Amino acid sequence: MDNQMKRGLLDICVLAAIKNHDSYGYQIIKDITPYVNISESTLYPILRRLEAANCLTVYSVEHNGRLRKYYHLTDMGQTRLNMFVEEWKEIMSIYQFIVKETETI
Amino acid sequence: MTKHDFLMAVRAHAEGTTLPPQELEKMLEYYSEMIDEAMEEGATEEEAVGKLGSWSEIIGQINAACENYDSTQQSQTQNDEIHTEFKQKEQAAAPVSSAAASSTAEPEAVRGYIHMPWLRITLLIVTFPFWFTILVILGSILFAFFCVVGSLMVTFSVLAVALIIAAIITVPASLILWATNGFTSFALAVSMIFLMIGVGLLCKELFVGFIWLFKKLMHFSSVCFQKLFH
Repeated sequence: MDNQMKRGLLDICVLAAIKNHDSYGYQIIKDITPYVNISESTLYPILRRLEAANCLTVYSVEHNGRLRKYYHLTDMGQTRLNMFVEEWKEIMSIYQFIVKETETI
Repeated sequence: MTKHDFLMAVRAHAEGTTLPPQELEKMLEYYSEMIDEAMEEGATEEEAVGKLGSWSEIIGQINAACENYDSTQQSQTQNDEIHTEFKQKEQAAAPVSSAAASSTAEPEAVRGYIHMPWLRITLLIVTFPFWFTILVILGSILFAFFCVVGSLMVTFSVLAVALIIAAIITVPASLILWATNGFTSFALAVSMIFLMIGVGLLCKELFVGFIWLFKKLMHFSSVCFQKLFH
């Protein structure tokens, strides 16, 4: 997959991973990895970027004598997720067309 | 590479760049958390650090963070109370580089790895008789555990081997007994063989069990050791 596209998709994946319940960095990686390969050092700038764009907020919870940072999806993040899904409906229909045309040759 | 070495290396690299101190602290907190998480799942310290991604990736990320800093800072000021909470921590964390400011920082609000070298060293020296005694006691207890488990391991392994060998030797002996003393002695010898094999296998299982216990003990003591020197 080309890098630009992967980068955009990863942002959405992170938002999706915290949609139903707040999550922390290590768990987010575990949730996403089966679908897209993501390392700890890739996740960090994504989280910072999404935080800066007000798509998520951060809070700390005590865990095993240290702090664990949890990420919470904001309304802005939710809007971005919805936009992605809408956009991709369109892209999927274009994809169907391309597949159909390539197969019929 | 240990966690401490890794975080130090990131800090060392970042200090040569324009990355603001509070951004660096956030980054270090993140990597520190990631290493802790991986270690809680059973990875060794080395493995946990190795998992983080390539060094060039991390350096690239520090450099990118420097460029993005301006835009990030603007949005931070607009943000809600969670950010102000973080800000407090950052302000407390910021004087780390300047040693003189340590008395004005709020130590309660700061995490464990914020350094205040003089206070820590003095405390360490003053409380020496106390923590050293406890350390020695705990060390001795741990050592005793190691000795007990270790000797039990040896005992059971030797016992298992001895019993199996004895069982093998009893096989020809039982035949001779049959020839000299008749069937009753032979039957007795055969039952002895089965008894020895049974007890031998039991000892082997116990041996395996103690190996497991020994490993757990090793892991536990290494974790204690690492925590101690952090």
